Amino acid sequence: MIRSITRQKTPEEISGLLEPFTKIFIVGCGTCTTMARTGGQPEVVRMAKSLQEAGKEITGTMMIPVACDELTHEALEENKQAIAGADVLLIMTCAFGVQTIALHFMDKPVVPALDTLFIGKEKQPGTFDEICIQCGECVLGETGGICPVAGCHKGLVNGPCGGTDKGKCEVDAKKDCVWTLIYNKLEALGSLDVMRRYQDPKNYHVEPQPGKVLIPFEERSEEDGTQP
Amino acid sequence: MDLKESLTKKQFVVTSEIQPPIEADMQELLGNIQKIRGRLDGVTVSEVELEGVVADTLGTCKILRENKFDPILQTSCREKNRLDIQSHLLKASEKGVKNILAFTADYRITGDSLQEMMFFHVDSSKLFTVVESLQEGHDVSGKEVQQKADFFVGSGIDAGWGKNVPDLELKEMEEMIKLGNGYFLTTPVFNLDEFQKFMKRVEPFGIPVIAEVILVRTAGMAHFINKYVKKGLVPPDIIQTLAKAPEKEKASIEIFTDIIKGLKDICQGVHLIPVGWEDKIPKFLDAAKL
Repeated sequence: MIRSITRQKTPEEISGLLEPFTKIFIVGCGTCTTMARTGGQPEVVRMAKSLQEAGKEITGTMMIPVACDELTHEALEENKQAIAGADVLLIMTCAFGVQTIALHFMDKPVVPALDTLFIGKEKQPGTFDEICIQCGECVLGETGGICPVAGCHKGLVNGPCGGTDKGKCEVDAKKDCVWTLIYNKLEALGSLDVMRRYQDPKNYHVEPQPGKVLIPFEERSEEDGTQP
Repeated sequence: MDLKESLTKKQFVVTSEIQPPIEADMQELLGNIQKIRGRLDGVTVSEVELEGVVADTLGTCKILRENKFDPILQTSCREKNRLDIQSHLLKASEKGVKNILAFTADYRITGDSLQEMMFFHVDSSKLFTVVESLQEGHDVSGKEVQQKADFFVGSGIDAGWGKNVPDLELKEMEEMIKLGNGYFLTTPVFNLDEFQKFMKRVEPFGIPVIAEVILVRTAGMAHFINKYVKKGLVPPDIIQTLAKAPEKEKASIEIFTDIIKGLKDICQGVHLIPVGWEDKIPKFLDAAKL
């Protein structure tokens, strides 16, 4: 499952952001930040405790099941009273959640407690890898299903570079060189000829930022796929 | 004689790298290289600096030309997007630069600019296609440029042997030769046996290979290279020799001479990386009879 991978800001940065406020309501998320152990129930409790010790008043805390979901608005409504008593909301979700919650309250400032790093996957417990950078020009069909754009530090599409060393990366000897992985996969697939094909320079602006795609209603499929 | 001519006519060419001076100490640099006039076939103006800001490489090339040296302009893909690369190369062509050394460049892992964005929007083989476009008289989008560029282009290659899938190592070279690469400059050479094996493998390509040699001053510097440039690049015996030597300079010159002696029979030239010892280059050249 894809996850929004987050990291908690330093206590110094959080206390700096909360400096003008006394009464705080804390929001955690039951999905990605729970899994990453950055904004789940235990982290929310710990945060509340440390802020109390620093002299802040916690008006309440809540866990939203999926903070980026539309149902977040209903969940926030249920906690309206405790939130009304707070000067600020401290949000322990990824930036999707922070923005969803910020949209709900026009009169309440929000402060993020986390930095959103990338969209990734937990490969081993506690190890998160970036899987896709949403470049808008997928090359996986020619790289054995392994992404060099996300997996190579330089994002090269004609790899490897001179920095590959016994299958490891010049940046970190513990990291696999993604282009060696791609080579081995293509060799196993019997398609090393693909490796030799020269890839044209990549389009770095497929979808101008900020991305906005409109799929017209009439083009959306009305079928549910059960009919032949 | 320019670099291209030297590579065809001479048996063993000698080039050296210089760092473009950040302050107005061009005179010091010129003073140093004046001493080796006639003994170098080209002077590479480095664009990649471990610690951050690099001074004006094009301006340095211009001054070198005015002083009758043949400059080799390094251009790489880390700090420049496609527009910057093209503008850099067009300016170089206008200033009369004939030699280009094209690199992808290392990922920045040390220095004071770690928070800066890195581009790598083209790699060195694509950098070649950028050069090719400009030589044909247009930019990469097909728009005509005023003056066709005319460059002799070289590129870097990893001379480490047996570290990677052999097929991968050769793929890059083949690709570059196909794109018109005139010569290869290797990663720094210390281990001659490994380098010989590497040369055996690339000989069939029939393209000049220049070996890079770093003037290693001390064991501390060797450790730094192994930590930040490439793990295990300077072998332990060289580090030990330097650590034990009562006269570091003498030991460094001896190490250099041994490497050059070995290189003379197996490749087409040597490229010196003086790292602060620009003023000592004559001593090294004398000792190695270059």
